[in-house]
Amino acid sequence: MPLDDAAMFPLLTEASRGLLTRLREHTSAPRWTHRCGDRLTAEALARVRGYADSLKAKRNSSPRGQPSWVGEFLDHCRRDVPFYRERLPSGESLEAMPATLREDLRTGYWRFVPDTADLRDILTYWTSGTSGTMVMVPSCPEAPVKYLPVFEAALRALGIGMKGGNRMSIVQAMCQRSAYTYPSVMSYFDGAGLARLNLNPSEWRSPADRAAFLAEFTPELVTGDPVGLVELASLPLREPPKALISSATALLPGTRSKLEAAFGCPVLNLYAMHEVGPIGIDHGNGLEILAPDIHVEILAADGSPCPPGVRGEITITSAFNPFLPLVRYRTGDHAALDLSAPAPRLVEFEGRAPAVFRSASGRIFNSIDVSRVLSDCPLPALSLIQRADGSVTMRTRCDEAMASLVREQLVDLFEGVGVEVERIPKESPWEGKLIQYRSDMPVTEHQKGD
Amino acid sequence: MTMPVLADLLRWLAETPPEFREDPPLAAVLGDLLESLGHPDMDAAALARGEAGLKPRAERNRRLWILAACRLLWHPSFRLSVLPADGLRHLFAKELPGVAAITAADALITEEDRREELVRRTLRAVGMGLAGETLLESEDRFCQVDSVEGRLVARGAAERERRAREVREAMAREAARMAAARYSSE
Repeated sequence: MPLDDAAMFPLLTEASRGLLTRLREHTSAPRWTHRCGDRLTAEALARVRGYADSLKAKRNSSPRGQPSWVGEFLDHCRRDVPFYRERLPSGESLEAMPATLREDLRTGYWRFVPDTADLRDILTYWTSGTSGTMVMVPSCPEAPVKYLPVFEAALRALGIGMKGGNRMSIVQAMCQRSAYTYPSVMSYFDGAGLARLNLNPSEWRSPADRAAFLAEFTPELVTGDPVGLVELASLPLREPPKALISSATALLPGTRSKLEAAFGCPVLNLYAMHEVGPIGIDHGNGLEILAPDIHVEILAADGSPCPPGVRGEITITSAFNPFLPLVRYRTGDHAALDLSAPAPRLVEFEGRAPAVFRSASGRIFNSIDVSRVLSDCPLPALSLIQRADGSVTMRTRCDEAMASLVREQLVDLFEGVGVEVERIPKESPWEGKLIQYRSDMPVTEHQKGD
Repeated sequence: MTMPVLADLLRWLAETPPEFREDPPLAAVLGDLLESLGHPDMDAAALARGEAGLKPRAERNRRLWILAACRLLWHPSFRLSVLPADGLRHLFAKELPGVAAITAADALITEEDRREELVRRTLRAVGMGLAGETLLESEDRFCQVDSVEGRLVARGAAERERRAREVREAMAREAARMAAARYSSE
């Protein structure tokens, strides 16, 4: 049964109702495919505002000792959460707790919802993660809205403030074959507008409507994946946003530079997972961990903690989503912790364990090395495969000159191995993950180290 | 990807050769299977060994459930894509020992629901669906044949089971609506 506006927007005001109607009915609006609201009650909004205050007051403490909230959080998990009830040993030391795996969530997602959670507030998201298998993620209205104060904190560090009010504040830009698109309003930003847009021209009545809609509803902030943001850069905008936040996949430095030049504003890279929340935000110097209720550990393959500077698996204990408490959740992503700045940062980040490649001379290197070599190339998406015979195929989206440069860099890195660069035209949708590495080369166990 | 048909998999299980039910050496059967699935590096011996401490009868029951899953995974439907190693490990190390702890493997011969439970647990573990079913329909049907959850009721944990069902139903309703906004792409 679809929800009506009263259920989707419990705090809708006359002004925000007017804005919502304009967004829905504007002559240049896309053919909206979905309806979504913030679902936020006054009590939940108050909790999010309290969270915003805590972001102003506290810094994330990972991993300089266990945060003070973890002891109580573990008690809550043992007492109220079916999955943890008979699983967590007594005691307050996080290091003594067993890891939680994505498989645990996928095969028993309902066991993570605390008995104390009011099911009238439950939300469901789907996530595919890096493995591609779908996982149902329990959530509640305040969890997704808590991203907004985290964004504000990241922008505040750059001297940027969000105004909100009776205007468009956030556009989420994608460019896909088809996507959920909707207009919405956000009570957290005093009724300001949100639009999730698919910039694929076929989703609009006329391709020119994209720029016309954005001229009418100019956002303060644009979020999206690199493909959507690069597409946005090709449109004539009346006024640039204050900042861009890229997420969903790695943002290569070359793409970031291209976007910063196109919009004349900072471009941040968000590392987030639906099941965890916003883990880190990067402005070119590592992923800063901002959320005070997300604790990050870096673990070696044997489960022992890695010292700062040593790469390992990013493992999260998170109270960010009250309907999905996570204890030592192994993300499958890898990075090292850098404690040299006041706030902890994740550096040398690479989603999943890196793929291992081999050059013509037999030199072993991994996908991080490929990312480094290509770091100055503005590629919004790439797929690189080394086959068992050693040959390399790279699919990407760029012009011929850039493809030549990419080919040169790869031939150099792979020391003469045959490299084919296939350009995917803008009109063709990108299939699969935006950054994909795969190696079919046989590699012995001792060569798999990071 | 072509998705398997439930009736085909149930028939395949019903036609299990007798030697699978005669408790052959599990490590060898698992080793062959994992190699054929493209996972020769997985530790078949450790998976076959399981956790120590089970009484002989319970241990035999665990092996028979895993053998039944091995038979299922030899079906051609599972050769169309690379199955995830993590999912297979979870199936053999967690899921099936959990079912075996409460349900006799003989029920796989006598009860179609148990065969369907095995099919659905296996598909969930490797991230596959069934032809003609949405994910939500699969979830709903799995709830009906899930003997582990069902046993909780029989053990007097009715309250917890009711809560688990309520959570699953509420999440299924919300999944159909998808009516909560997101603020970034992930």
